[in-house]
This record gives sequence, structure tokens and C-alpha cells, in this order.
Amino acid sequence: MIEIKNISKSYIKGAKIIDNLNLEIQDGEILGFLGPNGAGKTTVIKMMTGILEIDEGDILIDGKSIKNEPYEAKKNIGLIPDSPDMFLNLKGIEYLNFMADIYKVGKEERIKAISELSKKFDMEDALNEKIESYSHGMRQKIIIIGVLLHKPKNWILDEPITGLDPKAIYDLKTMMKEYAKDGNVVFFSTHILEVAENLCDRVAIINKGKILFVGKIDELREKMKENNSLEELFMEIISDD
Amino acid sequence: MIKNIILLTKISTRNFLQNLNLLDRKTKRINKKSMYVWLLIVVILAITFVSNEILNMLEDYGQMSIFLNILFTIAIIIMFMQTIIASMNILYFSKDLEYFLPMPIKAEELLLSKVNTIINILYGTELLFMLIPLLLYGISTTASLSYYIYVLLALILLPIFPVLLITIITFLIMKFIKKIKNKNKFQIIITIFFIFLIAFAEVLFIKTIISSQFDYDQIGVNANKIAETINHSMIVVNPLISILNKNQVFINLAKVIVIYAIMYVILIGIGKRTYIKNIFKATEYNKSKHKKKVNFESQCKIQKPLTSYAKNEFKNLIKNAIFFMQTIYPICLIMITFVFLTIYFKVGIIAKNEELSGLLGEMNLTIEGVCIILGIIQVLCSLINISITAISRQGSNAIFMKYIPISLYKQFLLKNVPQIIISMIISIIILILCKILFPIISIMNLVLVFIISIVLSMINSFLMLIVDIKRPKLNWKAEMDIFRQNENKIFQYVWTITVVVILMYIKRLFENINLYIAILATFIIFTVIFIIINMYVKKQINKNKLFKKVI
Repeated sequence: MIEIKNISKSYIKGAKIIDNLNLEIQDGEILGFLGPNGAGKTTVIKMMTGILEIDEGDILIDGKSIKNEPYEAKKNIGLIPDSPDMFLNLKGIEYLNFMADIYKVGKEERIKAISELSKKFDMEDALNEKIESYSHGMRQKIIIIGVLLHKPKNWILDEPITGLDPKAIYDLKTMMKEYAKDGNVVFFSTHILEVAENLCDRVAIINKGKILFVGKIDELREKMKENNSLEELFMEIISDD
Repeated sequence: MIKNIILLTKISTRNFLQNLNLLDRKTKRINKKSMYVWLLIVVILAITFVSNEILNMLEDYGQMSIFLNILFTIAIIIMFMQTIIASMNILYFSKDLEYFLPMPIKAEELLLSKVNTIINILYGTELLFMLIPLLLYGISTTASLSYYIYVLLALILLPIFPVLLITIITFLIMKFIKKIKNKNKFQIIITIFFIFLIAFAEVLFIKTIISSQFDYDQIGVNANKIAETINHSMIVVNPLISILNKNQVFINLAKVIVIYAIMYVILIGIGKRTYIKNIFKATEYNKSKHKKKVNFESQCKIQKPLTSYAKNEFKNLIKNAIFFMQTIYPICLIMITFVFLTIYFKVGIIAKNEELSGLLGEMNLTIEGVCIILGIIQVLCSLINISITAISRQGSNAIFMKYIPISLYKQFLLKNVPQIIISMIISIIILILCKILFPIISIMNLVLVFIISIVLSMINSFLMLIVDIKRPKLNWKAEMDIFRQNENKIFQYVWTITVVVILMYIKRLFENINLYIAILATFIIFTVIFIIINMYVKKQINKNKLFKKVI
């Protein structure tokens, strides 16, 4: 479970880019985090994962404060960053092993997870190649596999769909659903509203550092008193702001 | 064709040098805010001072003519090292090749523009290291105007030789290589090949010197003879020196031009047919046809998180050719030269000169000696760019440090490991060389110096890592940008000067006390400095301040 409590952030004094934001994501839930460019999505994700300092408020990851108990909180997080260009000089298998070491995954467990996940993402043959030689989509896949090795209770994905081929998108969506079904949190930011519409239990729409809406898409339709697509509702709510 | 070459040269040179910000863009005046300007001033002042001292000394001994020989020898060695480091990258692996290849550019145009780019880089080195000494020499010898014209001519012609030679060698290597399976491995192997080539040249050179009939009682004259021998093997250097000495100017100039003409013909001859093909070899990533299946049992070994993290730091350095060449390679070259020079002095000079042999044999360790050894180690360690780029090298990956469940302090310590280990190896080599030159120094004393050098290395590494964390360069497109656009290097030089000043002060302070007490006091001084730095790191991490720029 992730609890975001009254968080604020400003890079320049007086100009808050995240303003008193509250959000709660329950176990077993998929929450889509939507917003235009520069709305503050990545800033929130960076605060959730300990990359950015929180000016005001706090974020609890399974009850552990990312501010005060970062080590314990981070153990329960799996982050897919927006750029998949990581550890390009390592072979895929070296990277996965490194991630398993960092998150203290046992030998049997890691072998099982690597072989299962690499099969699922068609990456078996690429594991002995350097990540540098991978396409954008393959890099994204290897990062996803690396993150899932330690089975984090809270899976946070920043723009995960970008660069993936249709099959990989389908596999990832299926995996996100299964992951949530097992009682874990799946929190992801996206620009692709179709994905959010099909996948999410709830969506949170953010603009200019403030949450404009949190709830189910049907609730959004009800609120806007229109039976439009999410895309149209999104445009409307953003322009109203 | 010439127009295209000039245009491409301009773009490639600018791309390589990037913005040093020496001039203010708006006012076109010297940019006082640029660190490079200050670095340039410090280096120019230092070179002026050293050149002046050497010239005065040589004047006293009436051996002014030695100056040009020694200066040209040092310059040509520096230029060779610089060309080896830059050539592979500029010729085959620079980012701009991807943009040039789709353009209607002839192979020879591209090739000559790339060669010109390397020559331009060497002109920069020349301006920095040779111009002032040559001007001072002219003033000291009250040379006429023609000398200064010849200086200009020599400066224009000198860098062409190492660039053409190294380029031809790399062309030949590339010609005989069918495919580059792993470009990083390939670049590292090539640079190691050049290390061996230089080592081999040094062995041959030492053999020649040892077998020569030198007068071993005259070190100054010997230095000149050594320089002459090196310059002789560099075919164009002696003719250029002769031009400066106004000795058969036109004949020597003709010699140089003929040599260059032949080299250019060879270069274009090979390059015209093969250069573009070779670029393809370098830019294509050849995946192996036979997919190697993962052997989970052997490839999935469990390691402790901290061990795995530290090993990953080393892998990051060794598996990337640019990182390897910019961090470890230069110091390898220098250390090899150091080792060979020591062997040469031991076998070639000391062994044949009883007086000198007796003198060095009696020299025991003093606090002055300790400070000199530590000073040499510090200067050498300032050439290792590992900690000063530890965060920048990770680029956008650097945020990884912040979301994994390993404390930032532990990660800070682990990031220092590679630089400290390399520094320790350098210290050990230097101390072994000391033992070879001064056999009376006890191993116990050398061990004590080694302990202080470890503390010094740790301070050095910690400080440089702090600088990189506070001022990281995370947004780079090509790996070379981290090193080319790294203004942080100046902190390394400033710290080295500070250490040298501290050591000079220590020498003066403890000159007249017992050696062991002096060593202990030196150890305590550096340990206290280290503890203060470590406390600062802990405090900054606790306050979430140290890694603020890593986002």
C-alpha cells in the first residue's frame, strides 16, 4: 500500500511544483497516473522512490516512511524509470544478477524468476548479449525483468509502454493485472489514455502539481456528466483547470 | 574538396572540444568565470617559471643548446600519448560519423578532416607546453626575428608526424580485422597494443643508450644524448630543431616536407579504399550468430550486495573503452615509462658510474624524501579520473543509487574503491622503484610511507567524488563528453597543488626531528584531514544535501 500524505515540492522558493498532494493506492489495485507534460508526474514518482527529497508531507510504502525509513521502504519498491538506458556495458544476465544481488534474491529463486520472465518477454536469447546492443524495447524489457526479480510489493512504472512492441505491451499489461491480482500495488504514469482506460482500477489526473481527479473512469464520466471517452474527459478536465 | 575538408575539420574539432567557454559569448572577451581560463593561467605561469629556471641553469653551465632537444623530446612523447588516446575515438567511434556518413562526402575528405582534427588538438597542446618555453629560449639567446618565424614553422609542422604515423598504424590494424564483435573490447585491445608498442620502443631505446659510449660523469650531456637519440628516431624532430638553430634551413625543411608528402600518400592510399569500410566495421554491432544460452548455474552466482556493487563499479570502468582510456590508460602509459626510466638509470647510468652509485647507495630516507615520494604519488594519482567522474559516468542511471535499498553512505564508500585500489598500485610501484634506486632504504620505512600514501589516496578519492556528486554532468550524449566537458578536473589540480604545499610545509616543520616521529606526525595530519572529510560526508548525507544534484 502506498500513502501519499500532503506532499509539496518546490525547486525555487515560493513556486510549488507539487502542491499539497494526497493519494492512496490500496493493495491489489492498479492506479494510472495521468497528466500532461510537466504536470508533475515524474516528480511525484521520484519522491515516492526516494530520488527526490520531499519538502513537506510524507509518503508511506507499506507503512514505512520513505523520508525516515528509506532503506526499509525501498526494499518494497520496484521502479521502472522513464529511461531504460541503464548499465549498457553489462550483459543482460549480468545486469539481472546484479539486481538480484542488490535485492538479496536467493539462487534458486533468481534462476526461476530469470528463466520464467525472460521466456515471457522473449529475451532468453538476448541475455548473453550486452544491453548496449539491445533495442529500446528490449532495454525496457530487461529493466522490467530486473525489477520483478525480488517481487516488490509496490510496482512503480514511469511511462512503461513507450518503445515496447504490441506483443510486449500486451504481455506487460497482462503481467500488471496478474501482479495486482496477487495483492500488490501497481502504480504507473502514462500518456497513453487507452492503456489507462483498459487497465486501471482507478486513475489520478494531475496538472500543475495538483490532483484534479482520483477515482474510477465511470466516476469521472459521472462527474463530468458526459459519456465521452477517457481522452475527451481528460482534455476537458485539463482545460477546465 | 579542400572546402569540404576545412568545413568538416571545423565541425569535428568543435564537436571534440565542445565549449571550453574561454571567451564570453556576448562580449567576446576572456571569460573570467570559466575554470579553464584559470587553469590555463596556472599552467602558463608554472611553465614559464620552470622554463626560466631550466634556462638559467643551462646558461650557467653554458649548455643552452640542450634546451631545444629536451623540450622537443618531451613534447613529442606527450603528443604521441595524446594521439594514441584520441585517434581511435575520433577516426572510428566519434558520434559525428553517424551524421557524416549519409552525406555525399568522399572517403579522403572525411579521413583528412579527421586527421586535421587530431592535429588541431595537438596544436592546443603545443601552444600550452611549447610556445612559452620557445619564446623564453629566444629571449635568453637574444635570437633574431627569423628565429621566431622558424618557431612558428616548427610548431605548425611538428604535430603532423605523430598523427600521421599513429593513423597509418591504426588503418593497417583496421584493414586486417574482419569484424569488430565488441567495439569496447576492440578499443581496449588496441590501446593495450599501443602500450606494448611503447614499452617495446622503450626497451629498444634503453638498449641503444646502454650500448652507447656515453660519458657517465656528465648527466646534463647524457640527457641531451638521450633526447638526441629519441629525436633521431622521430625522423622529423632533428630537422625541425636544426631549422630553429638556423642550420641548413631549406634542406631540413625540404626533408620534413618530403617525409610528410610520403606519409600523406600512404595515408590517402590506404584510407581511400578502406576508411569508410573500416568505419562500418566499428559502427556495426555484430551480434553473434550462435546465440549463447545462459548457463544459470555458472552465471547466476550469489554475491553480497556490497561486493556485487563494488564489482559493478570496476566492470563499468573496464568494459567501456572510453572510460578505460580516459581513467586508467594514461596512468598505465606513464607508469610504464617510469619503470623503464628507472631501469635505465639503474642499469645504464648508476651501474656504470661508481661515484653516483655510491652516492645513491648511501641515501637513506629522510622526511624530505618522504615528502618527495608522497608528492610524486599525489601528482600521479591526480591523473586518474575515476572518482572525479564516478557519478557523471552513470549519466541518467545515477538515480539508481537513490532508489535501491543500500545506504548512500555505503554507496559513497564503494564508489571510492576503484580509485583507491589503482592509487595503491601506483604507490607500490613507486616505492619499489625507490627501493631499486636507493637500496639502503629499509622495507619497514617504505611500508610506513605506503600507509601514509593510502590515507592520502583516500582523501584524494573522497574529495574528488564529493566534487563530482556536487557538480555532476549527467546529461551527456556521448561518453567522451564526460571527460571533455568536465570542469571538475580543476579541483583535482588545485588539490594536488595544496597537497604539495602541505608536504613542503611538513618537510620544513619536521626537518630536524626523528624520522619516525616525523612520519607519525605526517600520518596524523593526513588522518585528521581524512576524518574531517568523512564526517562532512556523513553529515551531508544525513541532511540529504550531498546527493541533491543527482536527480
